[in-house]
Amino acid sequence: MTVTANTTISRDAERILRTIAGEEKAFRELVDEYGGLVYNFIFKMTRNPEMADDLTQEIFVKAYRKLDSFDRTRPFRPWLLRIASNTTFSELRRRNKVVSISTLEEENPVFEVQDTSETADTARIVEERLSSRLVLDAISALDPRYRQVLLLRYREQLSYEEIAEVTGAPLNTIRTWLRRGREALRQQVRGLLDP
Amino acid sequence: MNRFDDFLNEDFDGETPDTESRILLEKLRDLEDAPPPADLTDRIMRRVQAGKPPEKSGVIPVFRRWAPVAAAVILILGATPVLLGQFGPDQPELAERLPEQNAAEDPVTVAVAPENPLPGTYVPPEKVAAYFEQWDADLVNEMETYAGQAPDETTALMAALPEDSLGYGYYESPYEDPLSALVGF
Repeated sequence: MTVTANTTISRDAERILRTIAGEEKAFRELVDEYGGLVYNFIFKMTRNPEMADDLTQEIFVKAYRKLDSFDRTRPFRPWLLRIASNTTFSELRRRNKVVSISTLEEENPVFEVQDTSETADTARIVEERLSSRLVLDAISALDPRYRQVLLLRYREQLSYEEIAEVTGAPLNTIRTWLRRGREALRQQVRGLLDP
Repeated sequence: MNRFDDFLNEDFDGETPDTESRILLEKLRDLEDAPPPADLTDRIMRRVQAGKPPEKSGVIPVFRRWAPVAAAVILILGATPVLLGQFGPDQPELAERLPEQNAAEDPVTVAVAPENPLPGTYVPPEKVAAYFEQWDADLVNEMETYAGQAPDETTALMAALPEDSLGYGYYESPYEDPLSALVGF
């Protein structure tokens, strides 16, 4: 673990201790620092700003209530993202936005038949025409579990262990979801660029 | 090598990722964050302090803030007439009636519990029994008073009552039971 990471852990641990001691200002510091992370994680997962707004509030209230059970020797960010992930998936399930992975793979055998072939043209087209919006569109079309691991890995730059902590899935499952998610994303982008 | 390159190295098992994948994942890494609403932190802190449901900006939070008060006022206003007895099941009307009127309908209740002359009031069996014992004694006295004389209609009626009609908490005389009277007793 790097010096920066250790500094962050101890700073967050100190804020949490102050919060538990009744100092609300310390929790506000946590909200100020991680509010944007949580909001954007939900927004990228759902593309719904109202849901991101509502769930961000709910997640911080849950975190506040569970602070005394948090292991202060561990980083706060994955712990908070785990609450965010659980809350977001609960809401997506409630809205019937989550289907089982097995159903998904039956309906989309492309995940099993990987086509990693490329030409100089496809790479150039992707580089030239792939806007942030198109990336978001492509990732929004994926199963939420693939979407989540791709965002956690490449956007938030979490390690496998941290992603496993956030999702509650075993490391091997994370690796599999990442591999399939990357392939699904590639297929999606190709479809959007060449409809 | 930066963290992102470390990730790619780890994810592609040490192989160099193809250009398309690398571009795609870099685009994913560089996705810009949307700015959260400016007052989000304040709303979170208010919820944390009060344990309230999510607040929205604009009119809705005002409505949500005052909704419980409005609900309580409506409830109180709605319940007040009932609490005051205005919408009770004919209670004021019955209470205003003369005891004799009630007695005609429910002589046992009124006689045993005159302080609460509402039909349907529960009267303990022992109290009813005591009432009928007294009534029986009065009847005997009355009959003794009239001994040797021709019994008047009331005395004859009382004497004709079956014994088991007394002391069970209700009056079984077919002559004074409106329902029985209706069906032809």
